[in-house]
Amino acid sequence: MTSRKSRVAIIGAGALANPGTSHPEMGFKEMLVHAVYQAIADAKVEPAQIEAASYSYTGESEIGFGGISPTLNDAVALSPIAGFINCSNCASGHTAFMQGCDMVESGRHSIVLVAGFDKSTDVMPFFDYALISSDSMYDYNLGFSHIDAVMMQDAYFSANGISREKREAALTYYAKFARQMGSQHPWAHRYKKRVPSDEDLRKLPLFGSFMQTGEGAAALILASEEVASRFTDKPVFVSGRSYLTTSHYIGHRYDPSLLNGIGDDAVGGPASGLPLALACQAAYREAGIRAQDVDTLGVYDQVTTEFVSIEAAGICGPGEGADFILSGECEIDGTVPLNTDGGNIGRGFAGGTAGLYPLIEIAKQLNGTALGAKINRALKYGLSTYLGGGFAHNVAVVLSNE
Amino acid sequence: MSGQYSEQLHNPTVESALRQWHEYDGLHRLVGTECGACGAKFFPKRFVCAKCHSTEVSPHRFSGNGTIVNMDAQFLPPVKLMGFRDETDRVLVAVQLDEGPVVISELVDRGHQRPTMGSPVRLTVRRIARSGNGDFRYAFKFVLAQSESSRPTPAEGTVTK
Repeated sequence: MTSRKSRVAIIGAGALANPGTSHPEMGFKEMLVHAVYQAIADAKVEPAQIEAASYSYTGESEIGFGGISPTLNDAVALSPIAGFINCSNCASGHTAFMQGCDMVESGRHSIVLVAGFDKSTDVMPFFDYALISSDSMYDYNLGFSHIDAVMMQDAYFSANGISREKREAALTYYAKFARQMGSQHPWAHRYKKRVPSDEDLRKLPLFGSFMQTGEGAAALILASEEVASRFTDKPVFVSGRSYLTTSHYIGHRYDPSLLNGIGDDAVGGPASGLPLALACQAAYREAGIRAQDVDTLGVYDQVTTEFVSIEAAGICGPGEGADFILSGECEIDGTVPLNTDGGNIGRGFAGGTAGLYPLIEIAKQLNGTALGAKINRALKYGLSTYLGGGFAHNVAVVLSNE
Repeated sequence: MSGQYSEQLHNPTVESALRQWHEYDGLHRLVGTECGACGAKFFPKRFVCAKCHSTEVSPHRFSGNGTIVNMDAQFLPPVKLMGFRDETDRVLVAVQLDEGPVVISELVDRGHQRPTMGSPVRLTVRRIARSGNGDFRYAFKFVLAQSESSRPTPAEGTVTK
């Protein structure tokens, strides 16, 4: 049950470019300041007007800082405001955004900072962090790593009877598409880089459909609808959102009845996308829209997760994600342009803040300020979904320009 | 001189003897949980039933018999980071136990046999990654049920220390 005292608007955004590579020349405080003060300038607010902050990062093990929100508030010179921290695997940025929305919707705060960063060259490399970011005693400890999500992807192809030829075609198509989008976006690690040929992509692991991990920082300024009009004439509103969790333990994906309110007849399996589908449905209900109303989409792209995510969003039917990609409907002039900043593969992926980049991209497409490829038709609704911990965290956010 | 130093093992997790002890039965004997109210069975162990929310749960030792419902041959570099560098290639499997729960593990002693989805398997215990101090550690794995090296497993439901 949702009770909102105020609608949330996005009034500003900023980010550190090139999240698909390391930034050893900068510490996390400098990275964060870069993104936050870009967002503050974009929103045309004064720093002292920010009433509270919601942060995301991968966790204290990666950078050696715990209980970190006072450190972050001080770093961006916003003390003594309230600061909350979110660590939700790859979905940390999205959950920080959800918390920021809660702060505004509750009526407690009028202007809130949502910001995140990933710094994986100080203490612990990202892939080491990924190894311990699950139910580690029963997966990592036994030799099953986060990387073995490949197992889930094989399950997706098998469960849907997708031929080896179509797998290769869809993965190659998406890998090329993501690089094309990234090559046009100044924040992307592929910006202005040559887009490889299909032949070159086929020589890469997973046909190039593998995300580029690195470091980054991103920030959004949220405001209540009433306050937003004082700062911008192009606010983008949060119309609906949902955040659902399931067990980190992959074995539990096979039994949907472990989720409260889900019957034994629900379709489970590690590649069904069920928890994300439930999150999308809840976000649509809150926004009062249907999947057909979505004009642009941002999803977590990594091998087959973009296929599963498109299906979970109801953009196409179960098992049809690869066909949707191959049809070209995901292109900038297609029916539902997808990951128009390049996504994790073309833009780059910085785990602790990754989810904020697609939220910014969709907001900018909706208010006509996109930095890269622009969707040249009227838009009303955008959907951003994100995953963490292999469908353990599932977030769906509907944005609107009305 | 160099022989006096133990091998450098990379293992990013924070190792804890107490944590290992808490999970000893689960990691070595496939002991999970049975709900006293509704009879549902779970693995790994839990302290409240995920089906009926009863806290009347007790340890349950699974038979160790099941079938492969997913598998993947692992050749990726992170294997080395995780301390499994001496054990490539490895076949990771999701096994649906006869009692219902699905567990994630490794299929060993395959020889020239080609496991397929639906192949019956049974529990065994084998080495896992070495500890950061060089100690060998052990945990449950699976072998194909018709494999000569498969060992008899204790009766379902019995829990021993």
